[in-house]
Amino acid sequence: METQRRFVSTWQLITILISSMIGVGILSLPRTVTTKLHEMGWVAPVIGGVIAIFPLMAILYLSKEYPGLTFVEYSPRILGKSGSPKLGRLLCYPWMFLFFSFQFLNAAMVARGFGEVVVTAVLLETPLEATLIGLFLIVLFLCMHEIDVLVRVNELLFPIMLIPIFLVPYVSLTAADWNNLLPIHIESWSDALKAGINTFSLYTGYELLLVYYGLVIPGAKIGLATWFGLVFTIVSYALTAVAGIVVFGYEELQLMIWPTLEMVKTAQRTGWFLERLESAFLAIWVASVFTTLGNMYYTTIYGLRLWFGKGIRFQRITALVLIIPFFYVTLLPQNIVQFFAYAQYLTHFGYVVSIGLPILLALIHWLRKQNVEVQEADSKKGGT
Amino acid sequence: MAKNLFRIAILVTCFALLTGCWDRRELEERTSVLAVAIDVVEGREDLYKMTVQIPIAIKIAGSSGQGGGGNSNAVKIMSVTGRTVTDAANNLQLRLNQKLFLGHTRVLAISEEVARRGIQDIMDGYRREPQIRRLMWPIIVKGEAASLLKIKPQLAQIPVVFLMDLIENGSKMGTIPDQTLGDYFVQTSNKSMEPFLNYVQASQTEVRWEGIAVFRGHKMVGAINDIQSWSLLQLRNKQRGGDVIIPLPGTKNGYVTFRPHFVKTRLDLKGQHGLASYEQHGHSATYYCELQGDIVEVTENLKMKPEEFIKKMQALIKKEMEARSSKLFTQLQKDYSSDILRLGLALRGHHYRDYWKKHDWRKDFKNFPVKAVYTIKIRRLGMEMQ
Repeated sequence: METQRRFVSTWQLITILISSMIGVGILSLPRTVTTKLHEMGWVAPVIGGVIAIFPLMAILYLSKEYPGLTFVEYSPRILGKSGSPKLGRLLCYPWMFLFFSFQFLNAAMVARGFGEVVVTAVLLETPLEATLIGLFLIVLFLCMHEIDVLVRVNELLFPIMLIPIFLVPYVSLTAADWNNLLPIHIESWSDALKAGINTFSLYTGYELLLVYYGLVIPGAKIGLATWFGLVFTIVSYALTAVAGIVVFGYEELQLMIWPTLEMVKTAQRTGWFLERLESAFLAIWVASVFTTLGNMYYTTIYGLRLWFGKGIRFQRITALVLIIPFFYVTLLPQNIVQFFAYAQYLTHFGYVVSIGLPILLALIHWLRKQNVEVQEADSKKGGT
Repeated sequence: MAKNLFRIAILVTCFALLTGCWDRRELEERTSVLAVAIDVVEGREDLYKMTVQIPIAIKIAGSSGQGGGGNSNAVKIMSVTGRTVTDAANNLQLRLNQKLFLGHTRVLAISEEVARRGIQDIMDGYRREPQIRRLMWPIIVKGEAASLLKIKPQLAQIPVVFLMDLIENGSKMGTIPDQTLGDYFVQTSNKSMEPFLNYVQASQTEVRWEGIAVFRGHKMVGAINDIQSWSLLQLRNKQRGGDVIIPLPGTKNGYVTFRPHFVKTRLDLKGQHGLASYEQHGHSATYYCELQGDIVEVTENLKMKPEEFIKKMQALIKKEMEARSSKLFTQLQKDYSSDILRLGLALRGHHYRDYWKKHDWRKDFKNFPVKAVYTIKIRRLGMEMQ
């Protein structure tokens, strides 16, 4: 069973990591990072990325300790005594609950954010629900399949997603004023740190690796994949922020809901057949949001399946049942202001789940291992 | 199970394919507006008059077999009034059979009177409207804005197309600034600069670019003419501006015309870093502008050696350009007190601690020492040797 399950290659791991992290947040990124840091806004995603390194390393450490296992399987072993697996499982219930509910809510906010963009910018007369239902049906369809399908979908959509990431900075070069990036000067480091911590929410999605590390083929370079994925994401976020600042200046950015989209709208004489890039941009963007949303929702369902030790049938039914509350959670914010407020709350929740708990878990594991080694050493001493 | 799934898949596919686009609206079901003009209503302070130009597809030459004929009927011009721009648009909608569509609007003409009152509330609507492109051109019209839409240029069927070509060509040649709505938005929200817009005058049959309308905040405070606008273009945008025509000294009716081809501008900011007691006298800005170009016309024979001639002309043009730019600075600083040069942005970038934090740029720009130093390089004399 376990040998069958391990099929994710290094490259696939990279695509999963990047496409889970880069989502709808990039559309409002230039505004959110410049609110406090002004022209130095591009520092915020870098700080956020540095923060994300710690939990990622914790996850990496745990996965190396338990190769071929997902966190659902190894968490009880870490928390419980080797003699009583029941206790470990019991202790894991809150952790599982927090993790899955965070994924669930985060996925809902990603979907809502995407819906808002589409409805305010392109399809003005379409109800939000119609856009969302379309998206959900595809996600649901994805959930009807085994996890290797999800992995392949990520791999397939990854190149498409790359286009906007590099297109946006390129397009903005025509209207750049580099003085907007100056002065290089940070007013207060506590503000910078705060902005970095807020930006950290852009990186949520990496915690899905708690599951996917367990699925990699033996010998895959998971460390390399992690570093590559993270650095790539940091660079593309920082580039987007720089592009936004250079084109608009930080004052103007504060007035725009989706600055990245506006940046595409200012694209001038790109020399292509498309007079207006924004529709093409959003069309590509669907792929990116779909992977983020799909990964989060699928992993929630798949994790539950693993937790209860059930088969694909359970997964299908759960996906179908959960999509209904999911839809309502998505529609919970009444307006765009509330949406951003909810997303902010979710960020705080995210610190607990995606930073706190993996590090805690790794720490517990490490301490217990030290303990065991000490005991072993003691027993050896006693033996000889 | 697999069979069931297959059925579901087919069903979903059918649903997806059988529905149309939710927002679908055919091209002929829309009324595309090419240009919008905003005026005041005589005697009514609280109302705006909005005039739109709508092209009539059937009457445009080429689409019908007869070839159009006169251009007078190719567009429809309609005027409505309203308390706000959106209100006026709604009133217009009541008079139209199809839905108003602003996605193709390329020109927003605003009358000088409206601009002098301030255009903040007009711009707010355009900011929120996703159909509006940031690449649209807002233009200030001397006199009535609607007159810009009513011109019959004869060189183009649709008046606005004529105007668009005028600006587009001008900006390609470097004689007219390519000032878009997006630029205006950025310049109004940025604390270190002020916005400007193109300024035109329209008569019965034609439209003429007059220069630049200078703003302070959202209010127009004055205009600068074409010659000073070209200086601005050279210093601010590194664009070449128009030909320089100077009367030859010592002659009766002789003129020399210099045509710049390449412009290099470098802004040099002087100031003391870290000197707390230093007041603004320590700070100054100098534009070093290098013009490369040709002499394209000399109407009087000066009877001197070519080497000497070139030297003399370079000195003459340099003097003229510096006089022009100093006039530009006087106008911007003393008359309008509006930094459309983007000088504040550079100053904020390079002298943040020692200057920017200690001064209020909006007040201080008035007295900030600015000058321009030109270097003229004459490369050719046209096809003549002298």
